[in-house]
Amino acid sequence: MIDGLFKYTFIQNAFIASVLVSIICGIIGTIIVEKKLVMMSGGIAHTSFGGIGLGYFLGIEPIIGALIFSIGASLGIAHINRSTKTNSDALVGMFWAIGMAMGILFIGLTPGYPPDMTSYLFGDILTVSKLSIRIMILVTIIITSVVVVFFNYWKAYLFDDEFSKTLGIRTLFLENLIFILIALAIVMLIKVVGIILVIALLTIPPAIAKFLTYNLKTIMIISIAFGMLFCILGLYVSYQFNIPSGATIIIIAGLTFFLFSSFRKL
Amino acid sequence: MSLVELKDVSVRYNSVVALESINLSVKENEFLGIIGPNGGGKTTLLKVLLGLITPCEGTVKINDDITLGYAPQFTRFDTDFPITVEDVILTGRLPSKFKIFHRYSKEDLSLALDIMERVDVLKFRHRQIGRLSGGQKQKVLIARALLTDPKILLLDEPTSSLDSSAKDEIYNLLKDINKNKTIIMVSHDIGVISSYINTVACLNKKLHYHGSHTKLNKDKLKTAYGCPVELIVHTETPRTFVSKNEEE
Repeated sequence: MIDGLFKYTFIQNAFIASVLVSIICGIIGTIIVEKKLVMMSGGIAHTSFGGIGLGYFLGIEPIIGALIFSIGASLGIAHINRSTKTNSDALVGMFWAIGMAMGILFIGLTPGYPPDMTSYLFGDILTVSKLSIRIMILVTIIITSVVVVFFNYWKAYLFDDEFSKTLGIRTLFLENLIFILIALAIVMLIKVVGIILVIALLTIPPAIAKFLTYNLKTIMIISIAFGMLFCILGLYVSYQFNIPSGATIIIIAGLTFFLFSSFRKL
Repeated sequence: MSLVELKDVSVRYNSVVALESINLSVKENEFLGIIGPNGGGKTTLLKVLLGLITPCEGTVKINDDITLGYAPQFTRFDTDFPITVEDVILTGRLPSKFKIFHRYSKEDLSLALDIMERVDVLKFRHRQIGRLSGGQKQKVLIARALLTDPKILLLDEPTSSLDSSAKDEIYNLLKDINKNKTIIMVSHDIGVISSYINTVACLNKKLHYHGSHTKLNKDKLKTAYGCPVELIVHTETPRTFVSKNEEE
């Protein structure tokens, strides 16, 4: 059965994409959850919708537009946050709404038949192209190496950025770097699971991993493993029942989380 | 010779004054207690000293060879963070210049173990930081600051929300550390004006007094706090220090 499935190129691509997405989610998701950046990541993801709209409007690759918007949004939120010292909550909400509105506006302004936006909202892992896979491999290598190479610095920064700063470590560099990585990861995930579901795939695997260990590195590794499990299982189930793949992946992840959390309470 | 000298330092957040023309000098092996009400600018003053906040006016003079170790309040942390006591403390040895694939050396670890032994948290070294009591967490943060081998140790309310036995333990530890290090400690707890501290400053946006604590009287505290306060002074022969009064 599985063998039969694998003779299709798009299934192979979907499988490779699942593995890559899981690596990214495991690493970036753990950082997002531990640094309490979940809402901000949601804001970045939705702001990027404006970039997708702009891409269609200008006739360039929508993902490029999304990348520009998401990096701009993450650095923008971080900068305003630092200079005004206010809670970023409302700010994130504003970016979120304005980004979405711009997306809708640009699509409305684009001449001709409106493009199908649901693949960006909900993603479709089965339509991942060879080129997308190559870009994903590159992004995965970038994110993994940046995190691994400076791992002790990340750990110190994530736990207590202020103390790291008193040591003379350039925390501003780390902060900007992490926001760029988050933006990169989100844009990559948009293609696979869609804007709506990015947050779930970034948060659920680390949340489950936290039930099992108190070690940052182990949380990342367990999150990667869970991410792969959810994606591949979700892909298989969606194929079998002919239902949307992205939503299936998230439902499976969500169910697993509730299973773990209720098991833990017993 | 002063280790640290602040001259007319003012800090404002937008239009809110946090610190107003602060003059302060700290000498070698001093144990300075900065007391004052909540919102009086105590933490801001520490952050100015640490270089985390740049003052709007005034100068901060700290020689390059003078290193500062910072022990913040443990309540400020997300203690759910997946990190062990040992890893928190080792952070004190993290080099400031980025080193790729940095690993802590055997020397780093043995220094960390010594300090863990000294502050009595060695038995918890592999425990996640959140699974410690308040006093133990505070000791871990002090240990981390000590591992940077600072000339001056800065502490932000090290005894807030601790019971009295844990407080005593922290103070005894600080007294021991004070033998070869200068300490600047911030607190809103008036009870801290104990025999451990040898200089005290009252801070309520302005620095109201800076000198030997035994000279501190109710009137001066009243000016600092804006209301009458009970002063608890542990009895011990007062040591004499060069006191410097800051008159308004």
